Amino acid sequence: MQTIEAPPQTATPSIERAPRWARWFVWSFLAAFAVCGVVGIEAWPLTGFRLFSHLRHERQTEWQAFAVRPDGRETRLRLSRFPGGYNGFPLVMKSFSSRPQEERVDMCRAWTVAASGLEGETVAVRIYTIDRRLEPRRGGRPTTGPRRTLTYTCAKATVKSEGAISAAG
Amino acid sequence: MRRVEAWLFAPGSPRRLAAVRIGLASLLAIRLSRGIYLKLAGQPPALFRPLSFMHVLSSMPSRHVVLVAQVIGIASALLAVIGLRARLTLPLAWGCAVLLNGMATSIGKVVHNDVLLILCLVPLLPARTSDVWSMDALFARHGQVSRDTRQSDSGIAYGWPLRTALVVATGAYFFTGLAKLAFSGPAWVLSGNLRWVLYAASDARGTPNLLALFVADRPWLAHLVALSTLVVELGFPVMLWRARAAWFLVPGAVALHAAIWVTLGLDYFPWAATVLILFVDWPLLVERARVRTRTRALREPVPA
Repeated sequence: MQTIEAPPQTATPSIERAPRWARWFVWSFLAAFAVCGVVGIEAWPLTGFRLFSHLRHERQTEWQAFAVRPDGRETRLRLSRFPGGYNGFPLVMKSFSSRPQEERVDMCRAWTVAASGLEGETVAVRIYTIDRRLEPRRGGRPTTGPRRTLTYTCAKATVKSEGAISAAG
Repeated sequence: MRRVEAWLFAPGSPRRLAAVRIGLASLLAIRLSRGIYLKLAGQPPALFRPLSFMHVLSSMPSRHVVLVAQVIGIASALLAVIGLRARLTLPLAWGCAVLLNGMATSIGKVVHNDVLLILCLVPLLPARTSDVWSMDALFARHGQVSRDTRQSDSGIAYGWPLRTALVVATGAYFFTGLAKLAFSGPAWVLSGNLRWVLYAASDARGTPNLLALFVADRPWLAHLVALSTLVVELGFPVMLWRARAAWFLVPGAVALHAAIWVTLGLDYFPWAATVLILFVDWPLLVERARVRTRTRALREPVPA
């Protein structure tokens, strides 16, 4: 597996120098690439390459959405399986609390409309925080079940922050 | 700095560059043919989380736009593979890939799956990648463009695109390792970090992932895997001045991505493929295979 030929020992004759535009192009591109990589700027496709760079812990938190049917029943909304770009649900929830109220209402409306259209009439969407402990374990699974906390309720063009209602899931 | 410049702009092989064009353009065509882009089209504007240049759009592009970009992208990439007007078709395919993958990265998280391929293609865009092993070369041989004219600066024009791509590939791995150290420090290896990653990935599935659990259940093994990951990532640039390091680092990177796919279900196949396309000297391999075949044929006993 040869990778790169060694550079010639003798200096490249000036007549064979790469054109000026090529030098500018290469150095500008490499400089932008290195600055984004070192500083962590996300000017995609230039990126800071933060892949699994933050520490994970034994306690983990995730988000789950549930549709509330007219009879009050709750069913899990697998938004990641919906067509049309709903698979970012757990990602956008990370910054949901910091979004302006108007934006949160719009997001809630989008989920409610999708739930009604794809899974039957939905009067509200409840968003839960799921806390899991990864240890202790038995049989390949944690021995303690996840703890579910109702965090937001989307209904009638409003978003209500909950927070205190929790239950073992 | 002069030595770096002398290395970067030293002459190169047109065949090696053509092999890289064929490999990366093929990979691009494969990646562009996925259905994820059409699935993202028509997303409600409220859920659109643009990143970088995607801020110029107010929502995800429509299905029609995505379909057109996908068709043009795949067709252009395939034309670049066969080396037809590669200086036009490769940039066109690249532009479509940037738009389509820009969509994938606008759902609330930076998506890196195709970023190495896209970045390594950048130095090839203005380069003379189709002077050999291409339709362009075939047409040139048949008249209109004199072969002598096209090869007047042979060597120099074929070196810097490949070497720049090599720098980008090694840099991408290095920065990935650097980010781990910068944000987590030695704890990325010494804490239970990797175990929690593997447990969480296994628990998210209907049936436990046995390989993920095998590593996570053995803290010493999880630390070893984490350390090996950092060694491969931070060690990648060594290949730029110690070519032999590729014998360890290239298989190491491929194994890393294979392990990520098996244990976490994350598709980093384009990273592994890009590394193989760039760091393996394919023309040399083809030549060796030819020589071996010829030698074998000569050794065969001649019938009396």
